[in-house]
Amino acid sequence: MQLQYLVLYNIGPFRGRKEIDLRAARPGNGFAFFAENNRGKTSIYNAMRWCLFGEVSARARTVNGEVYGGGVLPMVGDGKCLMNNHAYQNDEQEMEVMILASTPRGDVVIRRSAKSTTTFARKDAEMKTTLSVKIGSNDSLTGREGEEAIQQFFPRELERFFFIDGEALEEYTEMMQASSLKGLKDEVNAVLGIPALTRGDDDLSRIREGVKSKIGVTQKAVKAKSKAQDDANNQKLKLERAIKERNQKEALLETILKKLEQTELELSKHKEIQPLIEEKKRLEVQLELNKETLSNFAKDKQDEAKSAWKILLWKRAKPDYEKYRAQQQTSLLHDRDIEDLKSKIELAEKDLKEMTGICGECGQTLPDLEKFKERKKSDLSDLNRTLTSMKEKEILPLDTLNKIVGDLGGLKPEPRSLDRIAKANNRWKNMVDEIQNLEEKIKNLDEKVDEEAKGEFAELSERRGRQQTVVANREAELKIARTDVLLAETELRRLERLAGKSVENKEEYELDRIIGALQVTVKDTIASYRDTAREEVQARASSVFKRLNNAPDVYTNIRVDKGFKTEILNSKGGVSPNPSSGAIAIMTMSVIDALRHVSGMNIPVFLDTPGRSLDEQHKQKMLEYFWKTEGQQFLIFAHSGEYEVGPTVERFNDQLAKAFTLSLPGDHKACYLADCKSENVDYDVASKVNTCNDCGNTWDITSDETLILEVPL
Amino acid sequence: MTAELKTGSLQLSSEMHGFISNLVNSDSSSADNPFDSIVEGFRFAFSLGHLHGKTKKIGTSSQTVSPRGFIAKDYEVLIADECKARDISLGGLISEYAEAGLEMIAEHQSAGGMILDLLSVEP
Repeated sequence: MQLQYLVLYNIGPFRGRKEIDLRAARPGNGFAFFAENNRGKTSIYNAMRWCLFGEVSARARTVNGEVYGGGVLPMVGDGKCLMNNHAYQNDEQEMEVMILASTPRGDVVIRRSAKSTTTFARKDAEMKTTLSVKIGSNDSLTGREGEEAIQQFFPRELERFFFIDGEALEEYTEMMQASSLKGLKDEVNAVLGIPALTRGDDDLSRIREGVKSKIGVTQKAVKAKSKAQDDANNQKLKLERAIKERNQKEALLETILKKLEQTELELSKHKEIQPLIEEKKRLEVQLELNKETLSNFAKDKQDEAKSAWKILLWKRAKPDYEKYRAQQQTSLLHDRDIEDLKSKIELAEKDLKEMTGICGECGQTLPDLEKFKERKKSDLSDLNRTLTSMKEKEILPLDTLNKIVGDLGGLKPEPRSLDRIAKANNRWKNMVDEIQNLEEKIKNLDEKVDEEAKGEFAELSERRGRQQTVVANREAELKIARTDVLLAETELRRLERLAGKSVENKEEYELDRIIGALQVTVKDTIASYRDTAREEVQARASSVFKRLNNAPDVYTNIRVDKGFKTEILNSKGGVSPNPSSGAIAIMTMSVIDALRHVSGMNIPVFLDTPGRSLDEQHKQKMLEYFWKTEGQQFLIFAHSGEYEVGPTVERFNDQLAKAFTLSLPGDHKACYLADCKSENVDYDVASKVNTCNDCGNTWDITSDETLILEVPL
Repeated sequence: MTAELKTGSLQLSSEMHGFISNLVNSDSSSADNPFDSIVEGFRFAFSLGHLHGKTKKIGTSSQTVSPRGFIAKDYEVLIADECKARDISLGGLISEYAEAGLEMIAEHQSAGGMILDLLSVEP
């Protein structure tokens, strides 16, 4: 990757659009930006990081290999930020960085811009960032696709080895000398390309997990299949037993059927007596039924006959009952009549006694009292005679009559009881006759059949009956046995289907085996590569170190151990106990360079404040070395105190491709235009503007907008 | 009136006692036995004898009939006057009627008749 152009828009001290042309006709690979403090060296350095990675990591502090602080440099805000202060405070709050570079895949244009989404953005969340990456003649890639495209030619993991902060060099050194790399480990691994391999291993692990999951399912199925096979084998035995049982039942049935057939044959020889015997049998069955019925009829008859005596007695008792019943009625009237008569007599006696000559009925004076009295006496006598006559009548007392009527009434049979008795008796009698009739018929049939034949027939019939019973039983048993066989066959087919189901997928096992082997290979490769890389880093770093350190006889080599802990070795091969700070800084630079070299990535190196920790000799040697490396662009952002512009340009002229100065207008008392450089300049105190009297260029010396001026080489 | 009457015991001649016992104890359903106990048969025989006004003296060879289930007093209203007239106990007169009734049954059966047909025979 070779940078061609860098375009800044409202970045740091660069207000508006600033273009930096990094194309050079010269063969050198060195690029230098010289400036005093606060002129924008780090802003350019950060602008490129932001353009490439979307954010700028603030400098972190490292103690004992552990990284503290850091964070992200904000795009906007009241403190230190990426956007130009004027643009942020007064303009539309928009900034952009564009990098044009050539890569083996073609020219690349990376454009990242950010614009406020509000009227005044106070934090990055209120900024909308867009990315556009165009490679060759392909369509522009944006967003995530753009980030991934950048990752292809400038992996983020390598940022620390290509954007080197000279001010943080001591932290690099501390990390490298620590027993554990921790903070640097990821980057070292990234430089060695191990993340790709590790990612590959992770990918393989994921794929293998998927395969193993399938295999697990398959194994379960295999297990189930195996169980089904065992069950099927057991089922086969059950089926065999069921079939054997069925066959035995069939044989037994066949045997008894043959015997039955023989019996039927023998019975057929008694054809002539068969109807008679069957008729007799039928009659005997009927006889038994009738006898049973007769028993019930006899019981009914006895039940009905329980009131028979009443029918007999009632015939005699009925007239008496009716007689006494009549007397009972008469007695009731008789007693009442006597009482009435007594009352009349009493009244008549009273009238006669109290007679006053006034008619008691009409109230008039009687014309003949005596005659009236005589008539009343005569009436009274008649009443007394009647009473005497009535009393003389022989009528039993009512109580006696009531008892007699009650006793006789108790003998009265229930209505229609004679009919019921007669019916029960007839029913019984008819059944007795019927039974006698049946017995007679049976007797007649018996007489018609020869005793011997009858005995033989009876025996055969009995045998046939027994055999028919056995046949029925054996047929039922055979039916069950056949059902058992059918069920066993169905179950066996089901189990055989399960057992026979193809569940094994050899491809899955093969794939698992291959992935496993690949993983082992990858791990071995990582281990092997890491060790090889370590040796290469050690060799490369030692080589660089020898060239750059100013005491190559004392500090001969660098040792990089397996944990990438670095140490300076002396001429005797031992670890230098107290190397100089310059030697340590050079060791660090050497290791970083070696790691970068081993990474194989041809990416520009950006070195901010490169000579901060170095003495003059080391600074010169460092540039001498790096600006000679194999075509890789090496950009330094140097403070004027580190590297003076003139001497540096002069000394490394043939290694420099381009050099720039970053300055404020106020830094220039002479005209700063390259083709003028006139010192004939007037200064207007009132307006604080310098004017070149030769070319007419004017500049405000109070301006804080940095000028980027190319240094003629 | 009734207070003066003696209740007496129920008896049958040995012959009739045997007859009625055989009648009742027969297990055959086809035998003409409308009575399920001796008392039932005794009551029927008494009623039959009474209907037909027939009595028969019971000789010296007699057997007592268990009075269980047969209360002679129940029939006092029918035969009290006759008992008084003949100076005989209730049980004695009832027994004579029963003895005569059983004789009628025996004769009827001997003639091929069924016992319950006697219900229709008018005196």
